[in-house]
Amino acid sequence: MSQDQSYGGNNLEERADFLTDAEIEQWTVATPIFQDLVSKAQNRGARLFIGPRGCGKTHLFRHAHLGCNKKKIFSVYVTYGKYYHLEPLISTKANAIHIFHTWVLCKLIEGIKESIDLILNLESDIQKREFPENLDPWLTQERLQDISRFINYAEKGIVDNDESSELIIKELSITKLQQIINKTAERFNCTRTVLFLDDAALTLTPEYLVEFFEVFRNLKDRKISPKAAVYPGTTEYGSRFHLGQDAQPEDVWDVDFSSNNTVIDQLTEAERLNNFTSGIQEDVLALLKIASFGIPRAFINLVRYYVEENGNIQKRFNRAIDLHTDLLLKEYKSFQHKLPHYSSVIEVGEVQFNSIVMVLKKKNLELHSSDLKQLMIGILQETTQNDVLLTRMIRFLVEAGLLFPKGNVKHGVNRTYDRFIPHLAFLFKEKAFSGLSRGFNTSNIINYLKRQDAKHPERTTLSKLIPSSDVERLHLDLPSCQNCGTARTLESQKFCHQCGYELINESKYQQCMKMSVEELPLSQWRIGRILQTSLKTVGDIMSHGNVASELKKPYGMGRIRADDTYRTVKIYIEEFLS
Amino acid sequence: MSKKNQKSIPPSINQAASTLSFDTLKLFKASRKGGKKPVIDLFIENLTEINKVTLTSSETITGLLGLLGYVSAVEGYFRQIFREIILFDQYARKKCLSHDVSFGAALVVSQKAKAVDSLPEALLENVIFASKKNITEAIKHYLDIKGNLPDELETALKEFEKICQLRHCAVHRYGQFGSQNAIALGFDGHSKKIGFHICLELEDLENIATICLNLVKVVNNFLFNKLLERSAKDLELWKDDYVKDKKLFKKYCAIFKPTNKTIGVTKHYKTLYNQFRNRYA
Repeated sequence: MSQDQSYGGNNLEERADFLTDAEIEQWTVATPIFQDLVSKAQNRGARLFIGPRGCGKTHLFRHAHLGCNKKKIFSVYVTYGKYYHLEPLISTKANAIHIFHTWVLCKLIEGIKESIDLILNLESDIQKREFPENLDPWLTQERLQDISRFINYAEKGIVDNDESSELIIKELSITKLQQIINKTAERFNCTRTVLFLDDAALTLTPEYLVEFFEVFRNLKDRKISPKAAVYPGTTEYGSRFHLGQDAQPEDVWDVDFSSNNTVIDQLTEAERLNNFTSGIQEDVLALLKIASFGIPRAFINLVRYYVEENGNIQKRFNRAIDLHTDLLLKEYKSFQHKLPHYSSVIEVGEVQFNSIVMVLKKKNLELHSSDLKQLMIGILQETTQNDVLLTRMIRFLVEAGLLFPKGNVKHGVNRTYDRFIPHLAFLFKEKAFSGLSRGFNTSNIINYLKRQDAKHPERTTLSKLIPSSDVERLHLDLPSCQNCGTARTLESQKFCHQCGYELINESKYQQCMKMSVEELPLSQWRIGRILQTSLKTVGDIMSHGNVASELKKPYGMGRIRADDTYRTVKIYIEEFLS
Repeated sequence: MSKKNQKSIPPSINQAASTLSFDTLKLFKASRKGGKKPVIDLFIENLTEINKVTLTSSETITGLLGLLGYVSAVEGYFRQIFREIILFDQYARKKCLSHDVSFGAALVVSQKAKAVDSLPEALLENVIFASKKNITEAIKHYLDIKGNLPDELETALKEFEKICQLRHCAVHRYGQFGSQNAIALGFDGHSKKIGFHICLELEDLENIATICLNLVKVVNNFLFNKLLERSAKDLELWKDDYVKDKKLFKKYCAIFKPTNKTIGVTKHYKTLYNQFRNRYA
């Protein structure tokens, strides 16, 4: 590998957001599980599709959306990934929730317009391709421009009582939107509508999340079926939204590697990956598949790391695993920047995760001479339920995809265990399946993983996993009062109990913009080069007028590297804030 | 029983009351706040003082008193900002020319020229700024600001209206929830709570304080902008040059610009002036 590890070609696009409709259709693999999820996405009723980043939610939604056309279902695809641009409004505008509510509806109107264009483009008769102007006053050219302007203003945080914005805020309602949707569906001879609301986890703004699911709940009617994509773990839906009742949950993430017909299996066969995977030994490919832990995007990354590495199989495999686990941990630790008051919880969470990995490594060493394997940990529920911070800690690990939840199991009175599988790449890294051998034998590892699972999970308690000194340091790191310096006592505190002044919460978006370039997931070489420019923080990169030429200034940063760096940073920021 | 005994006294069901003649004259002292602070700063001072009492006590009565205090602080802000605007802004003053003031107020002014500054307060004596409707009407009636209010202000007023309903219970019924309040707050949901007593937890009091603070912040920005917007129509008033306009612009700012660091935005006069010129010129 060259001096710049993060440098690589873009022949492998791992993000469904950046694929064209044609590529989505062409590059979709059809496993029974995936087809079942597509059917559920296209069927009637409200559903939430739950899975961590990179597990294929966007791909599923976009594929299902394109498939709706053929089934005479009117469908609308909208992504809400840019919600965080509206986050600063929470502390600057009294009607931030109204603005967000209207932004959600406006994005849907834009989605309706795009769906109409999509249908019209498929129309064989060129005469019929003209946009139906008289469909609804909200779909006229003029109104659509106003809506686009409103979205733009809201995302820039400059909705400033102008006439057109005020009109949209006051007049656009959920009922109005339902009428527009039903009218449009009818116009194109569709009996019903499915709304695909992607990137709806809104993890950084619980205030918006509650409002979003209020809109989601109210949009649902006899002819409209909303579907939303969310993350596991940290998503709170608000007091009026009941999962199971208002929407059925569907798991998109699956870590079943015993089956030979998963999305990742089919992905391996896919034409676009074949050029990369054809040179990889079958056993290694099987291990990379397992190490991706059910996340297609992770698999593509692992394949890329492996292919780009030089040396023997063991060195390339270990390097790919190292890079991937480092990336996962970096992503997990990025929660500290997103939610700084949970800093200690996230730190102790890493301690807990490492303990889980070590416990399972030890167990598998013990089991090596038997015909069983152990991949599952069972944590006694009583301990986890007692403390809000400890519960939150596990939810962070689940959201980051480091722990896969497998439900709970009862082993007697007051002995309910929450079961989790830790990310298998970390078990590979610790050589948990190699016994006492120091060598690297792929077929031995694969054979080991083919063993039957131990009857029970490896049962433990949080107190055994986390040293008491670490439990003691769990606390909320809340900023003190800016006026008198008194420490806050509660996370939700709004005024200082000492001096009575308002406590100012810094916008998470602004905090992200202050993040140093050194904390970005780039190689040390590349970070060093960026630091030679005027770009010192994320905000500098995002707001620079001509970032491409600025990035090209240091020696060794050509056009391709500069473009790739900017793209990587942009994707990271979007992921970070999504 | 039929024969009245002239010397007997009527039965007393409780203890007899003592006599006290209260001298209200000595209650009033010169304002502790001093004269020239921006109105919003005075509001913040009042709010933080109430916070210091209410947010450190878990007593129900402190919560109710805090509720009254917060609304009173908002009312105080409105009275003072209206007064400042009527004295300074020609459009508002013109609008108020036809409004009546009490004879008493006029008499004081005729005897004491300095009292003319308090004339707008006499004008507002019958106005109660403790409901959305009253505030909206007063803005039109006394400040001559017409048209729909922006959504941000509507939202802030809508939330404040809820606080006003709670205040009504606290003032007139010692915190007991009444049917009129239930109707105002949404009868379907609140009808079951009629006759119940308001119980404000720490979080509720913080929310009430936030709603009051939000309203004042939004109103302050709104009025500042409205006054500047309509002044911009007067072509003789502004010279489109910061050096020449500085004096007048600072007068507008003096009414609205907070000096309190927790609420102020660190914008220089010139930055504000440029924003004004770009927006309304």
